[in-house]
Amino acid sequence: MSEPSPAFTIALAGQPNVGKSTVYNFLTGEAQYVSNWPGKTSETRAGTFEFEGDLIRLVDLPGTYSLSANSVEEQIAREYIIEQRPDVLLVILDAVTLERNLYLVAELLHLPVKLVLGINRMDLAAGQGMHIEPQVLEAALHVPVVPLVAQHGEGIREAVAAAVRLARSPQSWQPNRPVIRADHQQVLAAVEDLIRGHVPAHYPPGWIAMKLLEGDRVVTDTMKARLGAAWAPVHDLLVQHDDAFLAVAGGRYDWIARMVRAAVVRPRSGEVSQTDRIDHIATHPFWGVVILLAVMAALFGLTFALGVPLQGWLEQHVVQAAAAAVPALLRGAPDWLVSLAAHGIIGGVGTVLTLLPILVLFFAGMGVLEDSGYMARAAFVMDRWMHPFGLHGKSFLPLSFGVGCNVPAVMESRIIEEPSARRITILLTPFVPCFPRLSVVVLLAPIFFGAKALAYSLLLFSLPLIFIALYGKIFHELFQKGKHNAFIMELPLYQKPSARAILKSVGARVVDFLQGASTIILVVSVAMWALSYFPGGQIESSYLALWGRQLAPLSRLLGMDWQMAVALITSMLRSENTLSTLSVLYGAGAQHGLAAALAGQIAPAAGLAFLSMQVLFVPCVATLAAVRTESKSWGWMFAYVALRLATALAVGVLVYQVGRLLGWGA
Amino acid sequence: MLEKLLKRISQGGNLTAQSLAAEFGVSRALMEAMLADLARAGYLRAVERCGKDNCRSCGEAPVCKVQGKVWVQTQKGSGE
Repeated sequence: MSEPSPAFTIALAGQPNVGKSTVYNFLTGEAQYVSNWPGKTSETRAGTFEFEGDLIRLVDLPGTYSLSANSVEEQIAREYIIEQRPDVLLVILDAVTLERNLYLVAELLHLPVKLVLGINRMDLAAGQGMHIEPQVLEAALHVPVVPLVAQHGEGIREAVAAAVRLARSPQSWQPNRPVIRADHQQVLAAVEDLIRGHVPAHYPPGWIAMKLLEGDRVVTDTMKARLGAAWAPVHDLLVQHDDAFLAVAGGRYDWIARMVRAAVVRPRSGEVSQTDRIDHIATHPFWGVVILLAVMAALFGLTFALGVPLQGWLEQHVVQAAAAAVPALLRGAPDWLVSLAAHGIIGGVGTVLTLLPILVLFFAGMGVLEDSGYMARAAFVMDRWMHPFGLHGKSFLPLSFGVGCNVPAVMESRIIEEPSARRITILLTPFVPCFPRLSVVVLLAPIFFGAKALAYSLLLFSLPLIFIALYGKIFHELFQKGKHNAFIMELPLYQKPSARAILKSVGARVVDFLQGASTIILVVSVAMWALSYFPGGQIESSYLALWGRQLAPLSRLLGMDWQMAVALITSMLRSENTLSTLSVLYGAGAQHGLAAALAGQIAPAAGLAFLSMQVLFVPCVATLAAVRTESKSWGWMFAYVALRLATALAVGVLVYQVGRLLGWGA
Repeated sequence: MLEKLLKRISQGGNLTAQSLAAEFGVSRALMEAMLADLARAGYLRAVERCGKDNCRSCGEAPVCKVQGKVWVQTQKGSGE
């Protein structure tokens, strides 16, 4: 015996995760049929249920945000509605994001189908302080609206009853549809006239015309094929009105705003407003900066307080112990091999590796700030601060990425279309001190400045920012004539940082650091050792000393000896090379660690000049290659090297000479 | 509303989806949908950090989160 034919077909539509499946399961129970849509991999479900004596067929359409053919699901939903014409479409909306959900309704109202709206999660919306008046919304839309709490089965049968009533009295269907903006209504009519007689069966010409104005890819391709030579005038009209999208989609948003004006009162409390309350202070023009400085000071303070003693312990008990064991382990080996192992490899790479505790703490702190959502606010606050200096909009994005690594940050300048603005950003981005550069300061500042390391570090970190602002202002006035580029940030909600995410981020960065230590830092350490050992086995008569002494006149102005100048130059291969080179050249290893080797030999003024130059010096070669690639000009790259060199030297000389006058030179 | 939004974005200043939502009297979710629509039509562009697909092994992936989601105005969006 065959099953009786259903009296009605109701299709369920809605955005993903709004509770459609809950409604479907409530109504059909186990009586469901699952299959793929013809020619698609997307799954569909259809089932039947009895309602007040009628058998009703229920089809669960894929969840979609709109009907713009951006995805297979959207295409399936609109094709089903137009071609299969269910008697009623029960659209499930999420009360918490009602406005966003109404966009789909705005599109559905132009299709040949009658709608009933079920507003689900009314309880959650109420819990977040939202007050929704379904009857007011119904009056505004002229569409039946039923409140639901689908999880508890509340309102579902009432929604079905409304759908059955609508199916039985189709003449009552007089919805308030969104309209295209007035100045484009004639264009819409003209397109409709041109395509009439060519649209596929079942498809309303008005809907096709609207989709053409929106630039819908699938509809455009279909009509192009069906119209053939007659496509040309349609195409010309669409090109003439390439802003029609704003008129069509803008009309929908205007409609949504009108519909919810009286029916929805937004939350005064809850998660969103809690974020807003925090942001009121965290993104404040003045307090936001104060908070940012306090947060960064706390991060560096904690890193110094915990990381530096650990680093010292590693240096003493691991690096020095290992270096001291080398002569015994390599008994009988030539002197140069012992020296290479003790000073070149263990002294150089080992010293860099002792940075690990500092880096782990620093990365973990940054991970907490990032995962909590605070760093987005920090970027926002910084953007506001930089506006007076001519740096804004798109330029700020690569600049803020530069903290991680300058190479991808320079590449990010591609987001700027205008060539001169892009080149300015390419030049400014590598001024941002990257993590490796920061780590050199974090390690050396306590050696040079003792208890005042934190204050000096903050001063040193602000130096590049001052030059970004200064050069930004100059370049912007010279090349940009004060032109603005806008950008918008979506600040994420604050959240409790996830330990897993932080561990993952710290792990990824540590691996990157170790890879650098095992490759380029090792090579540079060995090369520096070789140049400082040969030809006679004494550093003072080495090739490097011979070459380094050529820099003596300049070094004197900076208060540095040649070893420090060479260390600075090796940072161009990788920033941490500064540390390994200093370790090799100052003989850190078996006898004493880097701290002890440097402490007695470098005056505070020279140390400050050295670190000032370190943060302003020519960036690593990988960054220079990125500058060359992105600017497509060797000239810009060399001009950039000259600018960085001149800046670093000028600041270094100034800092040392002023420091000397203040009595810090001894 | 989209045209007004585009004009407002062109005026520049510190803009967030939240501040724009408050200014236009709509929910944050709807504002984000409008921004996404403007991007779809080529008036804005969602910034992607590097375009690489190896985030899982990239040491800089955590930094991507620094910005939250960011939209930049394109030349079409600024009417140039």
